[in-house]
Amino acid sequence: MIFNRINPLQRLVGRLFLFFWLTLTLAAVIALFVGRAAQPEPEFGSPTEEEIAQLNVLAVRLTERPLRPVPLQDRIDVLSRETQISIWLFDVEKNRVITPPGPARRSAKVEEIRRLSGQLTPISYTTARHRLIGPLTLTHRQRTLKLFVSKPTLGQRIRPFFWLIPLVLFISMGVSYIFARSLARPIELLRAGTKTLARGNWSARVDVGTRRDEIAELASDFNQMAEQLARLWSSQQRLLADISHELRSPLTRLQMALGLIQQQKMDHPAVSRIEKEVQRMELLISQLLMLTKTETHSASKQTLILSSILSPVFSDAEFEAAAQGKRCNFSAVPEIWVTVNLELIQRAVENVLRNAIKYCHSTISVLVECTESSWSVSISDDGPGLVPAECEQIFAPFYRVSTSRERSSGGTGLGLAIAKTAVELHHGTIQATTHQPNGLKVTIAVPLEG
Amino acid sequence: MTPRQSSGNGSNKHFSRHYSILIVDDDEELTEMLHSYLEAENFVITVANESVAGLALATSNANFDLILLDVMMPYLTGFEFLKQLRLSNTIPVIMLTARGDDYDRILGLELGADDYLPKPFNHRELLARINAIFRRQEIAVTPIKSQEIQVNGVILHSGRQTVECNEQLVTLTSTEFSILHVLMENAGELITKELISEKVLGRKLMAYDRSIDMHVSNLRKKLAACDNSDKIKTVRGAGYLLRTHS
Repeated sequence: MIFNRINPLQRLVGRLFLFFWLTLTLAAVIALFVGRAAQPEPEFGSPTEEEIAQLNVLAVRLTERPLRPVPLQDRIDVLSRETQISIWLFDVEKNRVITPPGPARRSAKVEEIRRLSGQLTPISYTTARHRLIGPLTLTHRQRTLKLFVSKPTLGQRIRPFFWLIPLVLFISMGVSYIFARSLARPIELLRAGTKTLARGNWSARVDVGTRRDEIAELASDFNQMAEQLARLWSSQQRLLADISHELRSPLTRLQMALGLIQQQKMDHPAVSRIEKEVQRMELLISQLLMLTKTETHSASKQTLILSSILSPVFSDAEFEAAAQGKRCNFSAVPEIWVTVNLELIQRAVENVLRNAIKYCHSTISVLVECTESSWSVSISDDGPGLVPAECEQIFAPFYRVSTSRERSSGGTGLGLAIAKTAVELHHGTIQATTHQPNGLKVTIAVPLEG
Repeated sequence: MTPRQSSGNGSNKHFSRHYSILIVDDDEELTEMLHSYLEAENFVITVANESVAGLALATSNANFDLILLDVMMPYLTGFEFLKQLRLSNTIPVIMLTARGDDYDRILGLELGADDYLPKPFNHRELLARINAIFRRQEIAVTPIKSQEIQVNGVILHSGRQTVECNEQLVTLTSTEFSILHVLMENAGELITKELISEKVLGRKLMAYDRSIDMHVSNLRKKLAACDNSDKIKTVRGAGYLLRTHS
């Protein structure tokens, strides 16, 4: 859990940062290695006078007869330390290289010495790291020895590698972070803007400052899109308002004309039929408006005690059920505080309740429960119920279940769609299940925070 | 044209006089029909198809008994009309709101409308609401009923149609006055919303109808402006009662 949260790969800025940093560091390291590998080819040349003289002096020192016999290796060790020169001897008969003290016993150098020992006169052999001078042939106790000296190549003895690593790491870290941030920051802004827009706030715009790159173009496209959405939105709203107003006016006039007819005692069965149809149309229009309004609601929520939300709805339902000779059983409402849009959540519960009252045989039962994070209302009726396949579809607008639940029941087919929209606006769920032994159970579950 | 017969239901026949109604609505075809319909019910009708002119009429000395006010009108909406009217006048107002728009209805009642009727409305419904308001006025002007009730610092003169709270005059709409009257006559007792609806609005309380709550809430606000103690207690899911002492 915690690792996931701090894992930089989870975030774009972290990924960009790590990617750039690794790339830069890797590039730096490779460059260093390549730099070292691409050193100049070894070069043969003639040693300087000075070097020849040095060789001769060393040869004399080595062949001096000591006061008592000392092994050759010891003498080299002593002399190397004394003169600070790395002295190498090749014993021709034994085909063996006697090396100076210290860590420099590299096989590569031994090989070089073996190769060069065939030379008759001293030459110089220069690699990137050292300069080998020799051989000078000398005889010591009847052994033919070839003398070499080696010294570091001047100006090439810098070893930049180790102290450069932290520096490269540090600089590349800073550069990568700035770069990654500069890419990710406007994306975060865009994301925030998109989120605001998705919540239905059409005034959301993104400002990425003075940038002129693709992200800035994306931001300006986003702003254009938001503009367009806002325009479409307001024109849709206006259209809805206009339609509702325009449809209501002729319906009102129709009602009034009916009134005039009925006032004059011109009662014909067709007149009451017209009245019934007008009422049906009226209901349909108002429900349709309610649905679109709920869908477009940018709900302002408030924190209320649950019973204050549900009690009025329950008492109304009881009233309505009693009028139809039906009964409602309500469970106790837990004393909890919830955040909801009062009007919408009441309408959702109300619509489900009315539906249950309409289709129940004699009784509906309502159970209110709460968990740590959510609360729920389950409304069960003892009516004909549904086949499981239909349980999902009844929340679609204008969905007609079966012949048994036909229009004659007086519904518009929008009540449950309105309930679903309202519940979803609270990030809640609404589900219908078949209830044993018969009947339908609809459960509305809403998070406490709405 | 044959003389129009008065309505058979005769609900307004026993009214003491011909009440006058001002209709403010920009729908001319509708107001024409409303005119004929309500005239046939023995009301005196004046029509204003333009809200500014309507407001001038309403605040003139014409003395209307009731205003039927449409919400959606150009220039001056029904809400603004009502707001300005209520500055000087407590004449009963029935708002003709857009059906399904709870916000309109609540705002209308909050601004002091006595009742509302969602458009499109049934003509019987309209008549019932108009009659309810006039019936209330009949009761209020009946001299025998004229009396003074005093409960918990509130004095109600049913004859003068005035209410005093904490020695300050409280301006109430006729619906608010009637609700307070019912509560004060039965002070300390629980009055159900059903009873209030039947007695004051003259109709049965419908499920999901919150207009009584709105009127009581307005009444509460107006009383609270003169006296901080909450005089009306809400009994959740049942009704209201007027406290006999604070």
